[in-house]
Amino acid sequence: MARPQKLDTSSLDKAVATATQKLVERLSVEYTNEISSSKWDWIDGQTRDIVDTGRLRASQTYRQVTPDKYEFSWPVEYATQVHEGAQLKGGGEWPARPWTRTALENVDSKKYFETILRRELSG
Amino acid sequence: MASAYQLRSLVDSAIGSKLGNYNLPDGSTSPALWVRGQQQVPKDWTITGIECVIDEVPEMVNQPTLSQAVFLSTRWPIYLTSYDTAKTLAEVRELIFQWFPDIQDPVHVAQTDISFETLKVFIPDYSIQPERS
Repeated sequence: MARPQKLDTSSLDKAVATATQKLVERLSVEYTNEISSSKWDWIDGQTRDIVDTGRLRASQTYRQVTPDKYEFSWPVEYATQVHEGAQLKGGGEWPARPWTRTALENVDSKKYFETILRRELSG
Repeated sequence: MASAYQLRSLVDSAIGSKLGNYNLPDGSTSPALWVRGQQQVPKDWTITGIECVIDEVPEMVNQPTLSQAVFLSTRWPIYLTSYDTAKTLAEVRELIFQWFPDIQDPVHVAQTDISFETLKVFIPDYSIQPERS
């Protein structure tokens, strides 16, 4: 009977980690691009970017939660209102400007990850 | 579910008694539960209490299957806003979660000095179309 051998997955693990990191960096750029893009409907009927003071854009951070899980955040107090829109007490509203959703639509994450993974595995 | 108006009826059963009112220019009132599509809430109406708005057109995603069957994943966006700064959405939130336990992606935004408290949820509505022979 053949003796069971322990499978060495270290190369695969390393490739997955690299591909994940590269994808996170790509998404980080795309999120920033979306915030900076003059594509968002605004209350004056024009389109504009999501930058006033630059605090929201500059606050973008990501952290590694587990080896294959990263978390992006924009820790300014008004980030959710900008993303989801808001009903203002003084009347009127801010339209939703969901930059995370559009960024994820712009990037084919699965294909990007697969391309990097293949490249890493083929040396 | 077939339409936003059927969903409206369900939502009304779930949280209708907790909603506020639209105040019309002629002095009459109407429950603050609106299906938003071709018609927006008229600008000359005011709102007291909690408002619930359902989008007339749901989000729809076709999920690929290994066969020719079509698995359509539809979900209805629902927006709740408390225009009464002394009244939170906590009770309404609990009720709607009890009625629709498969609610997806809730986004709760607390009241701030400039904006009212809001809650956005999606109610999924699955439909499976079998293969055609």
